Amino acid sequence: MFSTFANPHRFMSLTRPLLPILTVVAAVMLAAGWIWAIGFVPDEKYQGPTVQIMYVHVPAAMVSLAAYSTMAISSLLYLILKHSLADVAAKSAAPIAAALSFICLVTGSLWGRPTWGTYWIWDARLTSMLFQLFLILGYMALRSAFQREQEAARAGAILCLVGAVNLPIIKFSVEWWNTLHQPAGFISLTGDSSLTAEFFWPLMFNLIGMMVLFGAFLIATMRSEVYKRQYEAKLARLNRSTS
Amino acid sequence: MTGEVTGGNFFVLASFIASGVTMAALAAWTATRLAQAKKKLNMLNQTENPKD
Repeated sequence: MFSTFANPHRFMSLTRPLLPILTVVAAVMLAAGWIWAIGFVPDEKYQGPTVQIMYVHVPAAMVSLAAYSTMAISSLLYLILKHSLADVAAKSAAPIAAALSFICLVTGSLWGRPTWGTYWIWDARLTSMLFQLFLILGYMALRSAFQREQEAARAGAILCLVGAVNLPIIKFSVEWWNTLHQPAGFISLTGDSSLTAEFFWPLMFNLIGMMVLFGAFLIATMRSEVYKRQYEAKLARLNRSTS
Repeated sequence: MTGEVTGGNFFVLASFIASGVTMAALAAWTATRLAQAKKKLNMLNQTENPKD
């Protein structure tokens, strides 16, 4: 079943109409979500206007974890099934995961200064998130060090899966250790939220917008990678036939 | 919490600008890469089949 849906030609034909739709939806949702966050969300009792940073920081953090999970699942599928599209997905998700991790760290730092009194502290949550960024950059550097795509895919997949150990560390670091970072209160497993409706709904809206944006970026990057591989395969075939 | 935060508008603005710039850079890089990859493949296809 996976091979049926993960056929590169089918992927290209399915995503051709999907990409512009996702791009427009993501742009509209994020523009509306940011206007909602900056213009209409009231100041919080203790944090004042800095609570608005939550509307970029939390979606970037959550979607960066989802992006790394996409890399890890795709890497596992590649190692088991040897399907090239799984490797394309893992490789394509990496720069997006890196950008989102960077946004999460920068906005977290800018949020930390007025609320904690410091831009940075070697806190478990912050450090594990920084480690994720370095891991993704390392994954990209490792892949680019190989000449052959198959070797790069295998080495990258192994590194990505080893690094997946960091995902639960990021998620549960605020529970396992005493940290300056506040515990997860946005959505708990029981469905309760520590946020009132006026803060919760704009956050949900921005989170969905960020997820759609990730989908659009992933499809665009995957399409360019498929084009690149088709070009290389065709060029190799032409070279073989002329020599 | 260390007390009530005042004068946080600079940090809010800086956060949104940093996020916007990063996302715009990623979008520009992605769009350029997609367009170039498609163009290279089309050029090769035309070289292979000049009548198409």
